[in-house]
Amino acid sequence: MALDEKIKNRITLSILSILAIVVGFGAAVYSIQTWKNSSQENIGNWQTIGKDEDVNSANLLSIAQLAIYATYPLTKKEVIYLNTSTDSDGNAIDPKSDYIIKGKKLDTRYWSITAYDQDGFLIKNPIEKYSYNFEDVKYEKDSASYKINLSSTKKDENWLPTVGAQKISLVIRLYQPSDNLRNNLTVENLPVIQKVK
Amino acid sequence: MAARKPLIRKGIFALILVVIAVAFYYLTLWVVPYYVQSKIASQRSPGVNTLRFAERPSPEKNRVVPLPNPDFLYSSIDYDVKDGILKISGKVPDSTYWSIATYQANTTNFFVANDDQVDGDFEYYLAKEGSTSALLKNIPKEKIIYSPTETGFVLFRYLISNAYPFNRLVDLQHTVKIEKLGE
Repeated sequence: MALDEKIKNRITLSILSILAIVVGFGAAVYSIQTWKNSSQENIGNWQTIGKDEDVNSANLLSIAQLAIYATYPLTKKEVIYLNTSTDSDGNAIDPKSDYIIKGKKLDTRYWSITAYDQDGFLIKNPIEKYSYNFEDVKYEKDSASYKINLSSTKKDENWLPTVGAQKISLVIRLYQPSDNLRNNLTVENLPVIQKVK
Repeated sequence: MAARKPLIRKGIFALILVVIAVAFYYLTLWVVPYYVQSKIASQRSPGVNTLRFAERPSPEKNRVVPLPNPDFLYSSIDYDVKDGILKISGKVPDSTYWSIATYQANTTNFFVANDDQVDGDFEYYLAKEGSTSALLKNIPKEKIIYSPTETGFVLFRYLISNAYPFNRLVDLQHTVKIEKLGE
């Protein structure tokens, strides 16, 4: 009887230990999938890595998330990345709706805005256009501001297609930004995403 | 007193379970980047210490590494410096963005140099951290990249621009050479 009790206890201990391992593993997977961490900083609807952090010195969670969802980033000294999957009102970008991305030239050596699908890959489209950058975006008359049409239907100018995507995320890359931009990265400097239809 | 003993034992065991769960949480977070690097490397060909010239990113061709930049032409090397040193050399464009970046086995960036820092030609020696190889004796310090891990990844970025359209960059991309030097 005593032996039975001992075996029963050992089985219970083993099951609970396995459960603890599963809980630890599951919590880590869940944390990674949320794509949220303490290293992140929000600037309006855009997210970037916080002022006191960097991609190679951030916490374990942040490094794991970057490894899966944004593999091989460069440090902030070289590039600032900003990403969003919502419009400026905070609503998820709907691939079937039309949006205008309004922005101004950024004081950086190279900047671009790229659209990605639900898996983080480029979106197949008839004009083979996946991003706009400082050289190929068509500016307004003031030669400084621009409007990009994020839409699944054809537009005459600055069309960034979302054809066939289930979810959309946008990434801004700022390569070698000026110190002024680096220190004043505010909502006012970043593009606004407005739903129009 | 005797009645409290089982209670204390249960408390200690509960604490151990919490420690196990927390330990596995952090262990998983630590392992994931190494797993990602290893999985991506296994899907790339050719093998280690060999240059790979990627084509212009497209929805069909780039389905392994997320968030490819369509404005870039990439070249890369999966390296292993366990038994030697890698000499990497080539030409740098004069009026478009270029960079060489190295990533350790957990995908974090530990070195980057761009075209503003390198003029004309580049030459780097990639060695494992702490290497005392005689081959590095006469190499200027700024040309040596010490890798914290024996394996990792080198990524070249070439910006496709008005000054350097795609075809011009492809020629430049193929000037890069990699040599494995002895121990």
